[in-house]
Amino acid sequence: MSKLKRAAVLPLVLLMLLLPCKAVFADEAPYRSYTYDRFHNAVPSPNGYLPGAQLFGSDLGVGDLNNPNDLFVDKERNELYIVDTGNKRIVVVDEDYKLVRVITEFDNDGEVVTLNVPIGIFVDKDGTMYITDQAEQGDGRVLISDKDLKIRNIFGKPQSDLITGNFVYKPSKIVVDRYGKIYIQATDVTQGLFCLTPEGKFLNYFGSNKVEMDARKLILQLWRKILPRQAAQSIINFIPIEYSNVYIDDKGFIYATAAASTTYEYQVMSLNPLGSDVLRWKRLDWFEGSNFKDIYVDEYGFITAVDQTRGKVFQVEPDDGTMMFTFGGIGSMTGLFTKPVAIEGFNGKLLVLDSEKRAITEFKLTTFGKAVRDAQVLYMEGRYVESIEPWLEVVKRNANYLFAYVGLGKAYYQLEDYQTAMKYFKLGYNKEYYSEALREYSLIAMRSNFGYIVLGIGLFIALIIVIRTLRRKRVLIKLGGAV
Amino acid sequence: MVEEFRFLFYTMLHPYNGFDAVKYERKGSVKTAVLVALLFFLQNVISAAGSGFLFTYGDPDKISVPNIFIISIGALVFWIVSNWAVDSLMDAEGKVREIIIVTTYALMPYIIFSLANTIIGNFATNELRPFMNMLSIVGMAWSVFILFVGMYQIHQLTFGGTVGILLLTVFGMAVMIFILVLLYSLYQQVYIFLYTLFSEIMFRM
Repeated sequence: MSKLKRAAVLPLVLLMLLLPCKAVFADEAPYRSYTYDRFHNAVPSPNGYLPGAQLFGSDLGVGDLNNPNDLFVDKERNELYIVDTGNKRIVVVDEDYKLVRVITEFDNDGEVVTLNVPIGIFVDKDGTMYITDQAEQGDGRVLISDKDLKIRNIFGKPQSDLITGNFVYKPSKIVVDRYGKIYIQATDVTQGLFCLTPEGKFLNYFGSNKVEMDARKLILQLWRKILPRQAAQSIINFIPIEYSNVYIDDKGFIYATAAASTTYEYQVMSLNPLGSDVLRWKRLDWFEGSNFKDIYVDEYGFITAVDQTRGKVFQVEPDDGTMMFTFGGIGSMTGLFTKPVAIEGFNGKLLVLDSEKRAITEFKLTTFGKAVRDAQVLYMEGRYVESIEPWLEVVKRNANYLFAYVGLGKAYYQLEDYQTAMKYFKLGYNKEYYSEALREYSLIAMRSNFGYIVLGIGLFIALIIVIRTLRRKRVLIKLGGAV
Repeated sequence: MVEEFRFLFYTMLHPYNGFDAVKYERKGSVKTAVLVALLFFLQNVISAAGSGFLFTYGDPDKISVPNIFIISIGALVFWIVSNWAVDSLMDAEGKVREIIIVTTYALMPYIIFSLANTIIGNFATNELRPFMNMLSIVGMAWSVFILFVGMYQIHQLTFGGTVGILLLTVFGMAVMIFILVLLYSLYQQVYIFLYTLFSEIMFRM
C-alpha cells in the first residue's frame, strides 16, 4: 500500500467514526403500536401491522370514489364490495383489486331501479345482495337482489306498533344470518337492531343496549320521582346508546359496536340469539376515548375495531379483550386516516376504508404480529406445548408484552406445570389466573407433603404437652418449697 | 420488661382492668409505648412490601419507607397531641403519659391481625380473600374498642363524653393539619416577601 493511499484512508476512517450512527428502518410506519402495562399506562410496542398499498378509486379503474361508506368481502367468490355512496354505485373488485363490475342499477321486472344513497351491503353465500339505501329525504329502503341484479324484494320502513309514525327510517348497516333473518342497524335508533323476516316483516328489536348510568343521571332520576308530573316531564329522557355498526362472523355470531358512549362501559358487543351481550367487556383500557365505527372478526375470532375519534384500529384477542396491536391515527400519511368508516379482512390483510381520503388502505401483519397471532391461535386450538415456542419468540421481541406472559402462563397451566405458570402469570400481572394456578399448586404441594404436615402438627401438639407438664412440675416444686 | 409485655397483652384481653391499672397503679410505660409504635410502623412496611403477589396493590417499586414512617408515626403523634389538647379543654382527667400508653397499646390487635394477614397473603388464593377481609375488620374493630375503653378509663368520662372526645380528637387532628398547611404556605410567602425586599434593595444600591 502506497503512502499516498494510507494518507487518504486514515482521514476517511476517522470521518466514518465521527458520523452519527443511525438505525434505518426500511418499513417504518407513521404510528407506533403500544400495549398497556400492569398499571394501565401505555408502553410502546413493536408494530403488529404495517401499511401497504393505499388504493384510490383510480387505482381500481373506476375514477374517484365519493364518500364511500362500506366494505364487504364475499368469501365465496373472494371479491371485495365497496359501497361508493356519493357516486350512487357499488364497486366490485377481485383479490388483485382488478375491477369485476360496477353496480348502478337493478332490474325489477323490467323496471329500472337505481340507488339513491347506498350505505351498507351484505352478500350471502349464493350471491344475493342486501343493500341499505337511504333517501335524500324521507324513509330509506332495503334492496334485495340476486347476483344477476334482478330485484327480489324491496322494503321500506318496517311496520309495527313499536315504530312511531314520524320516525324517519335510515337503514345503515345490514347483516343476514344463515336462516335468512335480516338485522339492520339504522341511524337514530336507540332500541337496538331491527330484526326482520326474509320477507321484510318486522319481528322485534334485537339486542337493546342498556342506559348507561352515571351520578348525574341517577340524581336526575331521583328528581323525576320527587317532582310533580309536569315538572318531571321537562327532565330529559335517558336513552340507551345506539349501535354504530354490525358484523356477522363465519360462525353466525353477530358483533356490534356502540357509538358515542359517555362512560366507555360497553363499546364492543357480541350478541347471542337472544340479543344479549356475551362478551361482557366492560371499561377495557382501549375503550377509553374511543368511538367505534366498524368491527371485523376474522376466522380465528380476533376482533378488530376501528375508532373514529382518534383514527385508531385495535386488534384484540377474543378471551379477555386484551389489546394485541393498535395502528393508525389521524393524519394524511399512508397508514393514517381522516375519517375511517369501515374495516374488513381480505386475503389475510386488513383493509380500512377512509371516506374523506376516498381510499382503502391495506395493512399487512409484521413478523411480530404474526408471532403473537400464531401463538394465540395455537393456544386456542389447544396445542399448548406448541404455543410455548412462539410466545417465547414474542417475549424476545417485546419484553413488555404482558399478553405474551399471560399466554405462556396459560399454556403451562394447561400442561399442569403450575409453578412455571405462576411465574408467568406474575410477569403478566394477571392476579386472577395467578390465583387459579396457585390453588392447583398448593393442592399438589399439600398432597405430596401430607406426611410431613401431619408430622409437624403432631410434633407441635407434643411440644405443648411437654411444656405444660414441665410447668406443672415446676409449680409442684414451688409448692413443695413453700410447704 | 417481660412483665411489661405481659401487661401489654393483658390490656388487649382485659381493657377495663388494664387501663384502670394504667391510671391508678401507674402500670405500663412510655418506653413500651414507643416500642409498640415502632412495631406499628414496621408492620405497615411489612404489609406494604411482603403481602404476596395477590394481595399487594399498587406498584411495589414505589414503596417509600420514610413515607410510611411519616404517615404511621405522624398520625399517632397527631392523635396524641390532639387528644391531649381536647382533654385539657374539656377538663377531662387524662395525663399525657396515659394518653400515649392507651393510644399505642390499643394498636396491638390491629398489628397482630394485619401481620397474620400479611403472612397468610403469601400462601392464599383469591378464595381466601373474604376471610382475610374479615380478619382485618376484626383486628380493627378490636383496636377501636380497646381505644374507646382506654379513653373512657383514663379520662373518667361518661359514655357520651368518650364518644364526644373521640370525635373532637379527629376534628382537632383536621384543624392541626389545616394550620400546618397554612403555616407552610405562609412561611413560603414570608420567604418570598423577604427575598423580594432583599433583591429590590440590591437593585437600588
